Amino acid sequence: MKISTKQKMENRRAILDAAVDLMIEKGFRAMSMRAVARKAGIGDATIYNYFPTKESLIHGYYLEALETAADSLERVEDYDSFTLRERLQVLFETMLEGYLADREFVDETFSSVFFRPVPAGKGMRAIRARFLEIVKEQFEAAVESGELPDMMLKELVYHCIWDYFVAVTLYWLRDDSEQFSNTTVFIDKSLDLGYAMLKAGVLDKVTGLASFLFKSHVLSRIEVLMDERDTFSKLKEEFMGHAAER
Amino acid sequence: MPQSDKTPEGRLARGLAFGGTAARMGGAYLKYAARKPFVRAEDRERERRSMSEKSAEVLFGGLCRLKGTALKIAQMLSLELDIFPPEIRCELEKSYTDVPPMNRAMARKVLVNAYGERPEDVFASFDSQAFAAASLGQVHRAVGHDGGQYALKIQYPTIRRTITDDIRLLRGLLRPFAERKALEPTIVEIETRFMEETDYLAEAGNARFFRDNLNLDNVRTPLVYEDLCTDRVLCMSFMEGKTLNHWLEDDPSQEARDTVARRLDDIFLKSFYGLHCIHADPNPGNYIVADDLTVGLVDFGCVKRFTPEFVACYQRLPQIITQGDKEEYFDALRSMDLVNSDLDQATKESIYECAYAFGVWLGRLFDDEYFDFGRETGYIGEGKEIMRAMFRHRKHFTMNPDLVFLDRTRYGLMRIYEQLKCRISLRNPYECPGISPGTKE
Repeated sequence: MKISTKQKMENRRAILDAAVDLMIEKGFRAMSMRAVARKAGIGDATIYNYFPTKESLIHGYYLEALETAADSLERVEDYDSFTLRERLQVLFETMLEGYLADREFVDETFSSVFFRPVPAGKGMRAIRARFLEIVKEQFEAAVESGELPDMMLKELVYHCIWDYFVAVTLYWLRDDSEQFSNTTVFIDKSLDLGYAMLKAGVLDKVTGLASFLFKSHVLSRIEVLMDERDTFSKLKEEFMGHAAER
Repeated sequence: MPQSDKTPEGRLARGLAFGGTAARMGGAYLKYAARKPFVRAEDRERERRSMSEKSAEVLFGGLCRLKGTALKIAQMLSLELDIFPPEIRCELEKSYTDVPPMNRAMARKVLVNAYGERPEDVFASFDSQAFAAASLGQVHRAVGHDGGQYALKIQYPTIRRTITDDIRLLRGLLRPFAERKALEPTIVEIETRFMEETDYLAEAGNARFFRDNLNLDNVRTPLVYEDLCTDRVLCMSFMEGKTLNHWLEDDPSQEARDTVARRLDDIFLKSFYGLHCIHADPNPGNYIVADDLTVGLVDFGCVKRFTPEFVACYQRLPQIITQGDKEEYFDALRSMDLVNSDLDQATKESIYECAYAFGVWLGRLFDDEYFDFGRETGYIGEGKEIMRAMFRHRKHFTMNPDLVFLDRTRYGLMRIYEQLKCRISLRNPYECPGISPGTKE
């Protein structure tokens, strides 16, 4: 029997919701595909039409979160008048607001998806590609409006922003301030710096150096702010170890 | 960053450098500090209290690090402390915006945190661009689903912690100074005031109090929407009209200016003598003048309450001075906790002389039926001189915060009258015996 696209979307949503709940309850290992299917109210076999593996459930969640954030940006009343800096900030904040209800799930899964010693797999690449697409749109709008000069090597800049977003999320996961206001301030202040660099065309001239500085700046800030030295030194090595994939 | 020139640090550094290079800056300041011991002439023997070169260096370094709230405090203190060279004082006296304005994304975030929902889900429309700066926040327009026009006042998420940190920094800076102890009550007062100003639930209470009790014809107060208020977001009805300073740019007639001034005076008199509670932040941005010349009062972050005893005492001062009974005068000052109780006769004489001059100066406002601020352009300047003379005796005075705010408010009002160039009758039943209520408006 054929089902509508709308129904498909709803099923997908229901499966992901079920997976998030079960993972928070039982953890990734103990969770079975069958349990997810039953909780979502679809057939034991049907679930595989949507998600072939448990890992793909996790990737599916992050992709879904991105889409939701992108939709939500569309609905911001005066979005057209936002500068690039404000658009990036609102993107980050909206992403984190989306993660908030599933914070435990994100805490459980984020590192495993975004920090793998082995080069990223297909699922992760898809998430990154979508993120880069959203950022690219924001940049192109800024270039078009004359807010930013057109740059060479834009792709690298987008990758910087991706790395930066990953770092911000990690920071947020360890932030215990009221309403995570430290994260909000961290985003605000560091975007100040990043945006100033963009406006000054620094990235255009020395992209490699700038991306290095940017990463090391963001990450060392995190290191200073948290007593997670070991974890972060490791992260930083990984980060610095391989340049973003082209 | 290129815009660093506009930052307080940049401007302060320029004030210090006065045309010299950055390298000379520290030197020039140190020379100044060494030339000017930070002790009163009569305390010369207490050399050890004079400022060492080292502490000058610390202060110089610290001053350049001051931002936002700390700078605002330094500003207030610079009036009390004779420790800054004139170049710096001059920079400090210019007004800075206290906190960096929040961008659109941040303004949204503050609302999301406060309401747990996005602005577009709470309001029919929300303008993420602020239309006014508040002293420690900013104000945005929004429209409710019922068509209601709102003014939303919001603050930076970590502003309270910033204030605490800044005050700590400032205390550290002031450590080397002999007069630091005398300043402590003022610093505590300022800190308390800032904390109150960032507690929007308290401000909502103040706004309600004035709305319920002021009840003056031709004066408007905003309506508070409780359901949309949190400690960081204050939601009030939007006030139509222009802020007083903008209103003046359109060159209103003498009659219009006189009318507005009279209304400002009514607000003050009724608040202080009638409610024992004043709106203690008389800056032109807090008065909204509408086309029909009604005055809207906004920003209730700085409100002062007084005891009935204080008000009664204050009310008697002008008469006591004009009657010339010194002992009674000092009794009054003591009962208001203003002077130290054991003053020698000579000190009393000279304090009294200043006070008398001050009383005479104030009395001029009431000499004639009308006082014309448009013609008496030097009036406030004279008052400043007299206050400076008073200030020489400051070690005998206890800084009574109540009086500080009351004086600041009255003085601020007079500055506004001067800007308005208004011709106004300041005689009122509270302060001029023999005037019956109801002879005005």
